[in-house]
Amino acid sequence: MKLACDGSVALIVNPQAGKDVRRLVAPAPIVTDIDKIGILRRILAALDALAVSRVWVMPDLGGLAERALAGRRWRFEVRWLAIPGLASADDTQAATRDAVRQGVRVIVALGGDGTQRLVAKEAAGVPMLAISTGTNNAFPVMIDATLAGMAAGWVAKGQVEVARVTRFHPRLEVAIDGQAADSALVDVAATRDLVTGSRAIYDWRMWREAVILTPQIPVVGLGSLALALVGAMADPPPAVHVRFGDGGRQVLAPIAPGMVAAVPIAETSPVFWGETVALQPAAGCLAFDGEREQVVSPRQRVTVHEVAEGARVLDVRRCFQAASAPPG
Amino acid sequence: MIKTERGGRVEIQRERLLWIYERMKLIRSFEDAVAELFAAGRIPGFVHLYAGEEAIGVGIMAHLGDDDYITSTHRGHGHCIAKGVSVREMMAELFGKATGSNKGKGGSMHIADVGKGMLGANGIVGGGGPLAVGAGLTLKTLGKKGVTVCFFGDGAAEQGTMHEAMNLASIWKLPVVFVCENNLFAESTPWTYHASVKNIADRAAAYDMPGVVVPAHDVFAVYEVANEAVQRARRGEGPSLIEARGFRFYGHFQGDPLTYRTPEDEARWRAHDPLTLFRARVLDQEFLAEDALDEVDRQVATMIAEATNFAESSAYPADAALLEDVYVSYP
Amino acid sequence: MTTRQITFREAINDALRQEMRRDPTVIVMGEDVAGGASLEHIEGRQEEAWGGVLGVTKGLVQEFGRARVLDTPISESGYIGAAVGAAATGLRPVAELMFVDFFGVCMDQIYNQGAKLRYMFGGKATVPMVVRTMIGAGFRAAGQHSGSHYSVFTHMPGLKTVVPSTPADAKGLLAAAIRDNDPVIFFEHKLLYDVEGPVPDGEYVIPLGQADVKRVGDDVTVVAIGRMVPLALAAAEDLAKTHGIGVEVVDPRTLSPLDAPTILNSVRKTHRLVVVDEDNPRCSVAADLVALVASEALEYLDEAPKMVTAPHAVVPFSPVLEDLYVPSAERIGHVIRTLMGHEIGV
Ligand SMILES: Cc1ncc(C[n+]2csc(CCOP(=O)(O)OP(=O)(O)O)c2C)c(N)n1
Repeated sequence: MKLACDGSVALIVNPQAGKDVRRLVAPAPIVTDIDKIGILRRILAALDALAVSRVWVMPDLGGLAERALAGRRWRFEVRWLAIPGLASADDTQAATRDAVRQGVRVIVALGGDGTQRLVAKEAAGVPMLAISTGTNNAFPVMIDATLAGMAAGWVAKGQVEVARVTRFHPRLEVAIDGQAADSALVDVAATRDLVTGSRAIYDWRMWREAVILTPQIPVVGLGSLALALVGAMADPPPAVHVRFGDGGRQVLAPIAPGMVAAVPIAETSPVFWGETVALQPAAGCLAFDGEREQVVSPRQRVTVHEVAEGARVLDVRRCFQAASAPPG
Repeated sequence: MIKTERGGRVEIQRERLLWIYERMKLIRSFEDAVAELFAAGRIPGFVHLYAGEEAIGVGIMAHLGDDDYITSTHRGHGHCIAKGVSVREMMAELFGKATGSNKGKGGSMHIADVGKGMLGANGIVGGGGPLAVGAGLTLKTLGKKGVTVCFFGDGAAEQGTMHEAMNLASIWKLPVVFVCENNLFAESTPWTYHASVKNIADRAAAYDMPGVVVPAHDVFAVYEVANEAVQRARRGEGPSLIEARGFRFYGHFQGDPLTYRTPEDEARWRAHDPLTLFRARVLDQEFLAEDALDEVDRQVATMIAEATNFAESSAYPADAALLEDVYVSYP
Repeated sequence: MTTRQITFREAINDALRQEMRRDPTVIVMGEDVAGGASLEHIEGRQEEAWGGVLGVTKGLVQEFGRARVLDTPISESGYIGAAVGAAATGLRPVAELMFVDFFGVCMDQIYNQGAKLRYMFGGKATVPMVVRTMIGAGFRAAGQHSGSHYSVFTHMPGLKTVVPSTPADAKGLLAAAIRDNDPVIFFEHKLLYDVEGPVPDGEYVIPLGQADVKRVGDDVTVVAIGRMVPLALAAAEDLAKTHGIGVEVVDPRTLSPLDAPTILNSVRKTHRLVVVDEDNPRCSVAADLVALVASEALEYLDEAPKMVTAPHAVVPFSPVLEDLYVPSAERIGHVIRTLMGHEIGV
């Protein structure tokens, strides 16, 4: 089936992904500007080859997208997404909102788990393709950007059927005192930190408890614990609720790139679709997908609700299968 | 203190937080006072003010003692204050008085206090990098536990000396922490123009050291990253590069017509005032009470007034000082 | 004091060794000063370590180890600046700038940092460092490896400058430079390295700021610097024999601080001055010495002072031109005879 319409693609790049403290405390990968520009160019080249009509680009303060676009005449029209321009997380979120407003067919986002979470929060059902350029990459995929660009191009041009080439990734919705507060794609952790500090979580001794989606494949970060705890089950639960501390078993897990620790697990319980988990009231930080985002007090009641249909993500493999299928 | 050492528990000591606030406030008030005194024609020469960047100097210096060294820049008042140089002597120095930290012979761009490990502001952009390497070499050669922090601007990042310094510190595994204060502009030239990379921290990879970006307005973030980098250096694991990205509230120097940035840009960045953010954060979490902070404000105001009086009432250097201290000895 | 007959090169090595043994804070750094700093080279094949391009620091790394004899990358700003920083914080670094011509890539660290810190800090910093560097033409090394340039450094307040002319002076002055608490630039003429002379054994220090009268004479004062000293002495011997002229050769040894009294006293005695300097003539040490004598002892002069220097030109490559460039004993003799009123046929 072929849709007779030319949609557009949004490109969102977090210029600061892959630069956090985990490079100091662990040998986390360094994703340089040059790497990111290269990824962007490969995506753009694929979109160009597929004759996509329009590309909406997030203008990052570092000018990465600008440099990726420079020096070549593209067949597509380039439009810039509106952002506040403070080189903060707000840029990513605002750009995604704008992309949705502009009616893009697919959002390609470069970043780690932290970046993808922000995009997913605003994507409003538009399919997203997350490309890893961050530190912890439980959600985004490691894939050559050329393939990502082609997949996105087919979706934008309507050459593949969205329903067939996308799937839903679950989401953890966090409420504080009953009010929707935030959401995560990989995990929600409560830590003992009293300040958000430099945000990235890397010290497992600070962890108090967490709700972790069970990953499909081995990942670095809290997800690795979920896999270790329930992965061997015949029918593993979609998520687990873990309380850290002595008295239970110890799980050897890759908690950050290059950081493998024996993490003491006091208690584990499965979390099923649609279930809501209440965290123990305590002073500390809430971390979403590996970043300390918010400080909470013992007086606040934090709940985590699991939703099966969280983010709509593009499956590159299925895109290629669908695109190669004879027209019918 | 806000202990975030690996394996440690976060623990916030009231005194430490108060110290952080007091130093940040002291820097801000000092710079505001200098701006006024300069505008009134009471301070000669020219001055580059640190207001807006307080969280960097203080967040980093919170991990250093008198046995640790720093090298600084032309925008050095904040580093001096955070390192514990007396504000009376600093103010007197700006006035060119004999009681100044440098006996009135250095001025704003050269304030130093070697006894406190402050190896000088520097009028040469990028000049401090090699000096920091030297101080690191001393610490390593003499088997001392100290570290050296090298502050440099985004503009200085393009100076060859900084590249040489990072390479040397890396091959010799010296206890040096390079802190790039990326305030987005070198004079009027934006960093997006002058830097080949848009994260100066990327350059760390070229020198085989870790590179980290941290927001410059968040003292807690700077504090945590600095702690890791400083501990790493103390453990003998070598140098690292921290890029703290933020904004200077004033112009490049006092009198700068500021034609290269819009009032809107400025307003947006000023919304990220490190002091306001700190206050809101600690009050919100009840780490500190409002009256304690207000008390600090009052003390700081007194210190600044006292420093200004001291500077104004001090004598200028005697003529003989002209030829003093060119050498230790000169037969 | 017992002496040994050793080369200028060995005398410098002696001084470094002596000071490094005496004071653990003395370190030596520079390009190839250990020589091939790879572990294999030093640990396994110690004797083969270079010890500097011309072998001046040979053997130091074997005795003092790599922590005190540091090979540096080709980063003159970086490591000379590091020497400043190290000096300000407790070491006594001796940094080698291979050829003085390379000051162009590191002058900021030498001058704006090293030389000025103390003054700018109101006397609250000391920078006890030495920069050893090679000077001089005659090696067929052309424009960027043959300059003398000590005038540039002598001009600058905060720096001390030393130009030894004999092996013994090299040892004694280098020891003094290392012990000195100010930054000292120590100029070594590469054509002197193989010159032998008696050098005192054991600890030997010559205070900075003391000129040395290398030859006594009554008719004319020749102030000569560095390698010009042996040339002036050769000219003096020749003139004594052939024309009975008594030439007094004064070697200032340190240009900053300058031993003005010794020079002025000599001129007050001989009433004639010739300055021999391999550096370029404009704004130079030679010009400075002429100015000194003109302003302090004009009434003693019988003749206008003369300068025998390199021309206001770059050191040329062609051997013919280079030989023309450097003052020779003949030229020195010629100028002295002219000054003495001799009619000289061409
Ligand atoms: C070697 C040198 N070149 C130029 C200058 C003039 N200058 C003084 S500050 C400055 C800009 C420095 O920018 P940056 O390093 O980003 O520091 P900032 O002023 O932003 O704190 C320039 C060009 C100088 N002082 N030294």
